[in-house]
Amino acid sequence: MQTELEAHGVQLIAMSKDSVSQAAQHKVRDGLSFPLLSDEKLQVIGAYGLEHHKALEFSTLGFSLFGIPLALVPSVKTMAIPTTLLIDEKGVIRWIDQSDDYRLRSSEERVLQAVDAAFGASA
Amino acid sequence: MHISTTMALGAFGCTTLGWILYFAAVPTNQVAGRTSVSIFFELTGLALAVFILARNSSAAAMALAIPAAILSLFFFFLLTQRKTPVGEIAVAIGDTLPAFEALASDGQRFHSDSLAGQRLLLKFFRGSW
Repeated sequence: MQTELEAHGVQLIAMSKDSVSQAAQHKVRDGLSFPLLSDEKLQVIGAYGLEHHKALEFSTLGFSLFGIPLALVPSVKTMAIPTTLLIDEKGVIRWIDQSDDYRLRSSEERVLQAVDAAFGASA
Repeated sequence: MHISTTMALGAFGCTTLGWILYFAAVPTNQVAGRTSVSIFFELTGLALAVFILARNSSAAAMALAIPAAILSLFFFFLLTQRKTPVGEIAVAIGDTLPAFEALASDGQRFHSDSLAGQRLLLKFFRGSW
């Protein structure tokens, strides 16, 4: 999807409440080449009205074997509701996408359709 | 081994496996796809556990069936929590993006002013476990 975005001159940035080190790990683990911003105190997430307060989070506390968690400690955390914003070069929001199932992310297809609709077919 | 103890082991095994599969998918964000498999194991485990508990089986069987039932019921409770409340979003189409500051993964400060004149796809996501 990133090459399509680049064709429209759209920069991709992701943000979550992950710490800087978690974000850095995530980038390496998934081979991400776009900026992963950290909003640990949920200042931006809160300002945008994207907080999900009752998110039940299970922490493995680092105990895992081949990716399977050996310990699960539940806690209720505040996290961001997965949301995608498409913003044009004037800073105006052109498209907003939110899923009510926190485990899903915006589908690539929907995102590219929105980009096409906002910025026209790529040259 | 007594048949009800075998069934109880099966119940406990199923419900535990359902949980392991579900949470093994979490770090890689594949949970949505794996849920139906886990649901199958949890339902099977729960059915076996309820059967054992209803039959007044041996103490050993009950001792396994009870945690199996609890694991399964808690799993289904967890599933009901997956819908997040939306509708409190503070921005709308047509608004100018509110300025923000955050930290980049290399520790540098990032300010949205640096995006002036740039088209942007900003994705907020839940973050790691």
